[in-house]
Amino acid sequence: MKVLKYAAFGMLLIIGMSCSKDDDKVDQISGEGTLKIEFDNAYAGSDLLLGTSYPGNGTERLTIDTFKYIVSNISVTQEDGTVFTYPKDESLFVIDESDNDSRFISLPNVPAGNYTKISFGIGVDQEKYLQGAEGQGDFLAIATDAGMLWSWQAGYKFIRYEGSFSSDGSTEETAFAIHMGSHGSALDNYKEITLDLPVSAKLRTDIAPEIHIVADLAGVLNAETILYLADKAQIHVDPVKSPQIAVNTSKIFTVDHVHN
Amino acid sequence: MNLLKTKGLRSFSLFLYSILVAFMANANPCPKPLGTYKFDCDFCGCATTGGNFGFGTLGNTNFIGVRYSYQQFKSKDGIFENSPTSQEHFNTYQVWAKIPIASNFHITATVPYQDLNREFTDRTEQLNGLGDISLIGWYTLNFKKNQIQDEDADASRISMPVFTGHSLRFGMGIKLPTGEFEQVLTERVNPGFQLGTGSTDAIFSAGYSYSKNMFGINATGSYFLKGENRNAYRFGDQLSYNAKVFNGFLVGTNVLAPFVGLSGDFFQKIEQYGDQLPDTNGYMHLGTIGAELSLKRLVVGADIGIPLRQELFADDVKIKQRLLFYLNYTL
Repeated sequence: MKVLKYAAFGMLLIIGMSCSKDDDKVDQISGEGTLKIEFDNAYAGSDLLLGTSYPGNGTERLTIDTFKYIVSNISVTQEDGTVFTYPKDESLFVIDESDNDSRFISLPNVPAGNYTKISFGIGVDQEKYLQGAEGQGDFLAIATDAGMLWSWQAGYKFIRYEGSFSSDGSTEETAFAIHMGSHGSALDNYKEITLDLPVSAKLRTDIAPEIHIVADLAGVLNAETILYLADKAQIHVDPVKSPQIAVNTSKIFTVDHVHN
Repeated sequence: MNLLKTKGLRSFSLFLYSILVAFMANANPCPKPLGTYKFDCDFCGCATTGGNFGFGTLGNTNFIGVRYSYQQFKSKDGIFENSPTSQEHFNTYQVWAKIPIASNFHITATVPYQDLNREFTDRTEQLNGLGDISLIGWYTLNFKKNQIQDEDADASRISMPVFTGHSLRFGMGIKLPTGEFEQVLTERVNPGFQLGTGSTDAIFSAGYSYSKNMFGINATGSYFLKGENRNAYRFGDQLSYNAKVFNGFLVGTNVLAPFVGLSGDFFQKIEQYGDQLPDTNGYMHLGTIGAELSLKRLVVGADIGIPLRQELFADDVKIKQRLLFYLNYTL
């Protein structure tokens, strides 16, 4: 019986010790690190596959060939409300579904901290645009190569969404192209999006958290406004539909998860 | 003659009991594999770590043996509805033993070796090595019948306690981080399944058994209090249960005992850096069926577990089946 008591006591002791938490590791958050963002494109919950037929609005079916968009003005907010805005001139990216590397953005020199929100813009804001062609730095060439520019006067295409569609059960395919952007300085379609993170991104000098964002394309034509391609399949500088597309597009982004 | 028969039956049921208890160990697969990279992919091979997988027998026979378990999971390799799936095969080889310390107290130990592999559509990942060792101390309470004083009884007769067949047992133990836990830094694609949790965990168990002649019931519930590992990663606490009903038959001079049962687990959310990771909690319930054959001092057993209900990692991970084989030598 004595043996039993000692054994039980010993067991308790071990468990007691193993359960004590080491609360002495007070996080000294300082320095800078890298923040990573992944943009993952989807269509109605499925990973986007170019060249695959998807159900659209009503009887429409669409096949997507091209999906590109401009991401800009990235900022992140800490638990205590501190905002860090990434340098504006280095915060311009073209995300291209057909170029896998373009989906991953890496931002060095971000202050260490626990970030709970991320904000970014879709397109190029007026402030940047009004710096003129020479004020755009390397991005002008990048956007031009990606076909994200109408002309300097007309401005940037914020999204390029292209493919073909059919409707009413017809097998006849019609091309569609949605090019949404600000119309020079006449119509501002730039939109900023703020998303809460499901768990905070704990950026440290040695931890580069990755925020995994999903853009669900089905929303471009079906969010706040439902647009039928049969009504208009070519939307370029459209004073009515472009702003609707801009609002819809601002609602297609969600944060799926954060890797720490 | 009558006495002999009773004695034979009793030792037989004890024997069966111990065997069945061995099965109970099966009730505790570990935190489910984190099948997708969604959760940092630390899908713990835990489903197979010895510590969480079983304790050994709680019955009246002491043994040393080897046990093999196979578990098959299917996980989504990605975050989308159309993301590809992967198949995980977890093979665990254990040396396990139940060693008596005192009349009502014994210790069980399991030392697992893990061999895990995960098949993707385009590649296979493999991991093997020592898993997490566990050690549990058990106290058994056997209920005795109230002895009615017989006036006519021979006063000189030595009164022997008569057991009712009901018993309770309580266990307390520890799971050690002997299996390697690797923090996967390039999380995006690597699922990082693990040989161990990397944490020291406490185990609390309570069980009930009843046996009469060839018939018996066993039920055990266990709570795993998980510790945080060096990577500030803490698997969710786990509650496991297992219940079995068996009946033995004589086959020549050997005994064959088929059984049916239920087992399952409930998992709390995984925490990393103190944050609860969404969709990492869940449960699963398995129906089990199996049989055990005892050949003198050797015991051979097999058990199949089939999922009845489950929701693991928001349905991104599914258990397909579980198999168990073992060979024990009664001490």
